[in-house]
Amino acid sequence: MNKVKATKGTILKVAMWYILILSVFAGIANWLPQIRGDAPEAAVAVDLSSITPEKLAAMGKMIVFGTENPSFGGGGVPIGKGQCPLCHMFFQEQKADRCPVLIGEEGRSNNRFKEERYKAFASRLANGEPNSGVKPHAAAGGQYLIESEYCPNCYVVEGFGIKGTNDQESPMPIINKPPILLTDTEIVAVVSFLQTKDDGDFTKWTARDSWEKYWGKPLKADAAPKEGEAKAVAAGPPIALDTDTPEQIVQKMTCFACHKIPGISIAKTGMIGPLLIEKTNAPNRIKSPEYQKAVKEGKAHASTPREYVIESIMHPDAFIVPGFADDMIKDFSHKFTVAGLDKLVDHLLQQDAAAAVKEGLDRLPNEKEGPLKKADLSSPEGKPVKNAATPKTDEKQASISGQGVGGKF
Amino acid sequence: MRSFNDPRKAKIGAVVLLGVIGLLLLLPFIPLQAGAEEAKQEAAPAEKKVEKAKDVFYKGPGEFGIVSGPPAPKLKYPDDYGTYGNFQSRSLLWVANQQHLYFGSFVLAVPMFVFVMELVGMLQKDKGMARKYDDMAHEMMKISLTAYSITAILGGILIFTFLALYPGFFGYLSRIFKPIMHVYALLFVLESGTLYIYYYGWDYMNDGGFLKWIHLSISFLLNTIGIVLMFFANSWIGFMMSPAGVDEQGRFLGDIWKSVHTALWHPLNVHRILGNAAFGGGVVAAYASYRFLAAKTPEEKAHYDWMSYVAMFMGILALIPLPFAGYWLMREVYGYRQQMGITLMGGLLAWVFIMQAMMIAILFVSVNYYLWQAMGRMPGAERYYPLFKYMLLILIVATISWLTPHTLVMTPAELKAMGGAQHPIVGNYGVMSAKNTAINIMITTTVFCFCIYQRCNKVPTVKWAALGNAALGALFTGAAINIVFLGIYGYFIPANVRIGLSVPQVCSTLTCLFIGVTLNTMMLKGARQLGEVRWGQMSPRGSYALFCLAVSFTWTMAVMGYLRSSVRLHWHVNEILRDNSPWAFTNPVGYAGNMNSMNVLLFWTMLLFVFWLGALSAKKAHVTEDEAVGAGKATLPAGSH
Amino acid sequence: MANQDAGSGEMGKTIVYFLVFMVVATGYYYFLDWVMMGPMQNLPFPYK
Repeated sequence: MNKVKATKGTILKVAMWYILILSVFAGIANWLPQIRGDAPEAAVAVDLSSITPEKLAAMGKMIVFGTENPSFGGGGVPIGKGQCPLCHMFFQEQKADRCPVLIGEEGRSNNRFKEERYKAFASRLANGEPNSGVKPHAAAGGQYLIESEYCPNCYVVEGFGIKGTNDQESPMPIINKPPILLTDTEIVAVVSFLQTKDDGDFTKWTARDSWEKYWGKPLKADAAPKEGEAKAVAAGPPIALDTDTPEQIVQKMTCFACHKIPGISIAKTGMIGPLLIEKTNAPNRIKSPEYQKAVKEGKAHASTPREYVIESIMHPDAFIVPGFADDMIKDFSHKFTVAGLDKLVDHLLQQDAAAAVKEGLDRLPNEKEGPLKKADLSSPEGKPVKNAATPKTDEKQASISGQGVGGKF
Repeated sequence: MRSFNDPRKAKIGAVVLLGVIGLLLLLPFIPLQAGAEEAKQEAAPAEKKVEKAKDVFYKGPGEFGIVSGPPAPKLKYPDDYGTYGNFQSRSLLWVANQQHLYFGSFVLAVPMFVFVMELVGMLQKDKGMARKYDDMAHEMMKISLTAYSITAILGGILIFTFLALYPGFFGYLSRIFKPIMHVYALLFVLESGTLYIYYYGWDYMNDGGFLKWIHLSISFLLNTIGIVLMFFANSWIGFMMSPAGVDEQGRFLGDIWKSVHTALWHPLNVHRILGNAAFGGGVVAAYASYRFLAAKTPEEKAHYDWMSYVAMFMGILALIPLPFAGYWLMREVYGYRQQMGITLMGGLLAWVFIMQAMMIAILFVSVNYYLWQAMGRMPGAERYYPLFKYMLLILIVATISWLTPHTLVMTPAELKAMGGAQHPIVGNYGVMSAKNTAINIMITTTVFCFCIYQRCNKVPTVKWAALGNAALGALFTGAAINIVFLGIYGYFIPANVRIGLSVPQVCSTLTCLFIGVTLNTMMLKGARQLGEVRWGQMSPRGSYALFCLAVSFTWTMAVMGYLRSSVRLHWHVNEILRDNSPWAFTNPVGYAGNMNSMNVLLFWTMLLFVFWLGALSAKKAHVTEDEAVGAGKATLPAGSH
Repeated sequence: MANQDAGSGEMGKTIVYFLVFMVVATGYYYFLDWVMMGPMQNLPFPYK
């Protein structure tokens, strides 16, 4: 062997060998699926006045999966800021069984808080769960879902607790604390997604209400929206905003085309939909046998006038007022912002028969309840009674429950 | 023997020196004490103003600490981050960190080897062998000396990089670890001093008796200092991953020990010691291989062939317990935050483990290949050559099933064609059960290969040779059957029970390793030799296998470092200090692969410089070395009489 | 691992020994499986 040459040749050969190996390694690393783990955006300043329930649910989906169209091909699962799909299964195509499956969770949530087991948790943690300080007190499905995020230990599904704790402690992190650290609105968004993801049915959407009821305070926007952000939302298709007056909302949503609404100057002529005096109507409608039938069939879900009104706007075909056809426009769930919806619902819930009569408005002939002339027969637009069947309905009762509702909200 | 001093004075001096170094090792306890004192002092005068807060990690009933630091800053970009041009600050820091870590690991690992080598040399009865080990230890130390100064330089660069690019984060960390950082620096000085005394005192203290033992003790202290240094450095990364000793806002609670002793500190410590040892073995083996290939004389060739073999062997010894340390670390990660564990094993970073699996497969195949090549220097090895093709077959099958991912990323059309994300046939090789089986079979094959290597130039002459051979055969056959049986059985039971199968599988492998090698060694006592080992007569392909081994070690370290660091996701300090720079995202594995290859190449290029320096100074001593080798050979028969 | 230097008598002995040790080894590994699998099924964390 030529020894002098050998040294230089060796260095070269060894270097080539190194570069070859390193290229192969890097090549394989590049051949593997490339997943970039983006840092979660600093909580988007969500302005409740500029977001629709649908958008809220979409935001929830974004938090869960990090994308609007998660695909589960190849066994991969997109993971969003909330990191939920690491453990929870949201869709059949997705594989995850570490934690309870969340398909049909909305349905189950309505029963969880009624369980004896839930009560056992509540009494054991009556002084507050140590890590979160929360006392379990969910009184509705939505509240249970909210509670589960703030206090995973408040109820642990059987078989999913940390081993050795007899299912009394959950392995789930507290969602509003690090590392997940979702804001209140984001949690509401996730719950919105949970409640509506299975069938896109927004009648079941109570996330925001549930949050406020659970914590007994209004849900505030997380941070002041940046300048121009609210405006950006306002552009595009008409959207009912918080800043709008009820009048403007009715105009934007073209409610006046079909409905007469007391207190709204442009809504005096609609002849297609029922007169919207919901302080009077809503409580009675809920009690009506037709509505109860719809509830039994699982179509309708409201138990308070407010829920009834929201349901009627968000999901018009949940219940059709007898005598009317299923004609109402069904895209309001993405035209209303949460706060805008609130505003309109507030207005509608304040309107009673007296207000209508004062403005000279009356029911349509096809309304089962009949014209508003029991108290005021001298109504100029008084119409012959076609359906006199107005059982147990009287103004007094209606206004009482209306007030009750008004006091609550 | 040289004796230019009064030997008695030298002895006393050596003992005093040892004592001083030993005493200085108490330094690390100062910050703990100081921290406690400081907290007390701060607490005493302002009794009213004392604010107590709950520790994020130590959640016991009495675990309230006195708030003694500001909350973690909310970093803003670009105010709290620096940049150099259009470079990604994080990638720059990545390079600085990785290079410092490589050299740090190297200078930590080499003294460990040297300690063992020196000890082995001292315990050798054969004077020629003793000399050989001692020379090798000395040579390694010389290389480490240059590497040591490079480590210090890289450490300086790293700190400057931190200060320049991540001042906000570094400020927060150094405020908490203030006392530790000073002690760290002092220990570094102490280590330098000890290192120089150790290296330059080598020949002087080589009296074959008392002074040599003192010399070895200095080596022990040197290693202790090195390990304590590493523990301190680990405490910082441990704190970043699983903070403790601070409250939810990141306010320091006065007890530095709690911040040091976080959930992941000890698992990281153990994992890193073993990892460093394996890495050091790989690097020394590569160095020796290079010198082997470049050697000009048969003596030199023989020396470096032998050295590369010993280094490789030591590296593999450290590699074997490494998976268990890794298992412990993962377990603690799950214990600390389940979600962190899932991000590692089943979420965002799961593909990195596929990469790691591949690296491990390459490691084992390289070792086996090296051993086959190495048998070329053993007269009588021809007897075993027919076995190799079967072993290769086993290794290939195991590697393939080890590498097959459980699920593959495919286009929808492919998915449809296959009828699901899992291939009806191939898919089965990818599940955990098959992987465990594959890796255990690979290790067992390697152990078997080593047993063959041990005996390939020998014929056992012990009376119970037939008995021993039968026992060895049964041991390996039984283990293979058991491992495969458990692997197949795993398909018929649910996943949570299946995990239990991996333990007896590993135990079977370990039985082969310990009992098999012990039995084999015992059988070879006084065995009839078919010929001397012809050191230096290995095919160059063996050296290339060792290079592959060394690169794989280095690369595996890099990729697992990426993994460890990435699992914090967008946090500087997990859940306490958020990364608000544009580089808070987690890089995909491909980018990490490119960075790693680049880093590994850079490291080896620098190392080449170190080796070159070593060879440069060796040239002068070359003549004497040749003489020494010659002298050693001449005295060998005399010594063995 | 037949001993190449051994005569045919040695070979036969080795085979008999091998069979005996096979029984011992099988017993040992079976014992290992039996002992180890129990406690490992109660890990404190989910494993995937």
